[in-house]
This record gives sequence, C-alpha cells and structure tokens, in this order.
Amino acid sequence: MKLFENLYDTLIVDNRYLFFLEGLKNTLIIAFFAVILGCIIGIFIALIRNYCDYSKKFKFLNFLAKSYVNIIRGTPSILQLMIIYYVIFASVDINIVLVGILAFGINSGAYVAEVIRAGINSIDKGQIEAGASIGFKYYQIMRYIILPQAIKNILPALGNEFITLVKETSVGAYIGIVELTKASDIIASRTYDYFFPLIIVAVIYFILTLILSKLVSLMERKLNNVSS
Amino acid sequence: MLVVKNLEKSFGKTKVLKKINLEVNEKERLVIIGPSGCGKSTLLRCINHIEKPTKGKVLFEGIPLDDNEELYKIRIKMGMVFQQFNLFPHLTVLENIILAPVKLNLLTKEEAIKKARELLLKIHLEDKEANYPKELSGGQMQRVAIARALILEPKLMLFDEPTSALDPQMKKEVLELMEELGKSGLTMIVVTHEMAFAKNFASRIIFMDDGEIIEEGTPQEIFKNPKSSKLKEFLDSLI
Ligand SMILES: Nc1ncnc2c1ncn2[C@@H]1O[C@H](COP(=O)(O)OP(=O)(O)OP(=O)(O)O)[C@@H](O)[C@H]1O
Ligand SMILES: [Mg+2]
Repeated sequence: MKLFENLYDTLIVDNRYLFFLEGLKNTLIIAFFAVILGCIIGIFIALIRNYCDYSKKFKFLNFLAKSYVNIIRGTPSILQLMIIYYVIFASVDINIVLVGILAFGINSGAYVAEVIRAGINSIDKGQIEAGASIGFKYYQIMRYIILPQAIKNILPALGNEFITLVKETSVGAYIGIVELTKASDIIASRTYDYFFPLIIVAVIYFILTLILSKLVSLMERKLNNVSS
Repeated sequence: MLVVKNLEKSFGKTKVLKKINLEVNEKERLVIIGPSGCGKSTLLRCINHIEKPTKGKVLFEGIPLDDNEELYKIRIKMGMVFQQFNLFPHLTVLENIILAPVKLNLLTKEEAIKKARELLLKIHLEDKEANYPKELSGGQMQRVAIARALILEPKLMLFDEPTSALDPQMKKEVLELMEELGKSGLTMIVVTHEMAFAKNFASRIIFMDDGEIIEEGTPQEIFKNPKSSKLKEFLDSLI
C-alpha cells in the first residue's frame, strides 16, 4: 500500500508526471538537435582531415581539426558543458536548452568526425586510386565512389552515437537543464522519495535506447540488403 | 608522347626509383619486367601521379604533370588498369563504365550508355551490364575495368600486372583483349610477369632492378641476347 501511495505521489499529485514529460521532451530535443549539429561539425571536420591527409596540404588546418577532436575526446563532457555555460555564456542571457544543444553538439561533432573518418578509411585504397585514374578530383572521388560505400558503415555508427547522446544529456542536469534526470531529481526533492522517480526515469531511458537500437539494427539490415 | 625525366621516388629514406629516364612513342607497346619489389608499380603510379614523384618530371604530350588542373585532364587520357581490378562495388557493370564520362560531362548519359554497350560487346560481356562486380569472375572484372578506362578514349593505357590475380583460363581472356588493343594501335605500358605474353606482345621491353632501368630492347634482344648479368640472372630465375 505504501508503494502505491509513493507512486501516486510521484506521478499524480500536483500533476508531477508533467515534469517527466517536460524532461523527456528536453532530453529528446537536446539529443536530436545536438546530433544534427554534431553531424554538421563532424562531416566538416572529417572531410578537412581526410582532404589534408590525401593532398598533404594545409597542415595547420589539419592540426586544428585534429586538436579539436583530441581536446573534446580527452576531457569529460560535464566539464565542456560547464565551461560553455559558466564561462563562455557567463554574461549572456541564453536559453539553457540551447546551451545544452550547443555543448552536446560540439561534443558529438568530435565523435561523429571519428565515425566518418573510420568509415572513409574502411574503404579500400584502390578505390581512391581507381577514381583518380579516371580523372576524378578529390570531391568527385568522395561523392561518387567513397561516401556511397562508406555510408553503410557510417549510418549505423551515427545511430549508436545518437543513443549515446540520449544518455549523455543526463549530464545537463548538472547545470539545471530540466531533462529526464533533472526531472526525477525535482520530483524526489518534493516527495522525499528517490525510488520511483529514479526507477521511472531509468525505465524511460531504457525504452528509448531499446527502440533506437532496434531502429539502428533495422537500418543496418536494410543497408546490407541494398548492396547485395 | 610520354617523357619521364630523372624521376626519383623515395618512401621515407628508402629510394624506390633512382633517376628513371624513359620515352614512350605513339603506338608503342612497352612491357616492363623485373623482380618483385624493384619498383615497377611505383614507376607506373608515378607516371600518372597517383604517387607523387620525389624528384624529376613526367611530361605527357609535352605537358608536365603537376598538381594543377591539367593533371585531371591528362589522367582522362591516360587509363590505368590495376592488379586488383578496383571496380566500384556499389555500381553495376554499366554504371562502372559510364561513371567517369557522365560525371566529367564528357558525354550525356545516353551517349555514354550507348558507348558502354559497344564496349561490353567488344569484351563479350553484353549480358552482364546489370550485374554487380562481385557477381563476375576475376577475368570478367578485369575486362570491365579495361572497358571503364577505354570509354574515356585514352591515348595511353597503363597496366599494372593485370593478370596476376587471375587463374590461367581467365588470364587468357584478358591477355587476348590486351593484344587486340595493341593491334588497334593503342599505346600501352604493361607491367607483367607473363613472359610468353611479353615476348609476343611487346614492341619494346624494359628490364628494371632495384629502382633502375638496367636494360631495354626488343623482345628478341632481351630474351635471346641479355647483356647484363642481372637480366640473365632474372631470366634464369624464371625457369
Ligand atoms: N606506399 C609505400 N610505402 C613504403 N614503401 C613502399 C610503398 N609502396 C611501395 N613501397 C616499396 O617500394 C618498393 C617497390 O615497390 P613496387 O610495388 O613498386 O614493386 P614492384 O616492382 O611493383 O613489385 P611486384 O612485382 O611485387 O609488384 C618495395 O620495396 C616496396 O616495399
Ligand atoms: Mg607491383
């Protein structure tokens, strides 16, 4: 009976379930837009690095791109989030969800860049040479030969990146973004009971990632069928 | 048509090509032979600048190959065929052949398809145009790779051990096609270990060892009257 009462307190009293919905909404918004921003940054960085490696030109630009990836991957995301919120936007009045999108997008960009680079590098070097030998320029080799093949490896990996990001956004609670984890915290602070808020949020994360990984493996199978 | 001047290539500290000088005239069928690792592939790849020479120059019809716009135009006129075929696995046979002329705006898609079908007829693969490379035998793949180069109407074709990855029956199909191309007057540079083919096919043979051209001459001169001890040794090692 006590359990039931706690559950009722957690969800129904004062319409507290709305916090969960708000949290879910923000979690999804941040993860979704961050992964888009991450893709834009990641494609850009990956192509810069690949082009510089290929042509052996623009060494400094390559160094900058490499540094970005290394710095992002070498520091905790919570620190990156705090630096962006408390240092870079310290004196700016900015929507905190937007801060989350920016921070996680910039973070994700480094990982997406590596995913794309790995996808491109997984294609046999002979393909680039064959492309060059028929008179193609770098961008034509990428566009018509390498990327159509690499996309099969890249898309599922990007899906996994999105799944990671959904969980990673929980770090946003730390600067006060009302995403899922923060929502459970808010409710727990009112009901003085952590059990249900945490369990419910855990279940929501789990279902979300379960659905997403099913989608990724579906996509993987589709992509493999296309080529065979 | 092709001039190679003092070409050198190093990978790190190892010199793979040492001062190579070479001239190829129109309609020549030049065969390059030599022991494994002596730099034959590297030479071929430097000729179309897939590999950047460390020193020296390559001129095609008087124009130096360099890192500029000309390079891409020259490569169109300089086909290359690889040991591993390097067909594009995500495209069908027909798409493989028409990709370059269409994307380079040399032909409309209809023109390219028409021309590709003529080439498929020539390589006896007219019934395979909708197949993907992995559905073909090695010999068929290599013939498609040759057609992919031919559609650009190259003036010079480079072949890097085009039959090394093939078993005997398939070798024959490809070598016959190459002989046909030679007869039609195409200028060709062929790296091969097929000595019987080299004897029949070549108008001139170059023997390389350790990054250098050691000897050159007609098939007769190379096989019947080898001058250098290295070439003698190499020919003996083949038997
Ligand atoms: N990308 C590379 N990096 C470093 N060394 C290389 C590279 N490519 C070739 N080499 C070296 O250069 C030398 C010449 O290689 P190359 O492939 O030109 O020989 P080859 O005459 O074609 O041999 P094969 O008959 O076996 O094909 C070899 O010792 C090889 O190890
Ligand atoms: Mg070789």
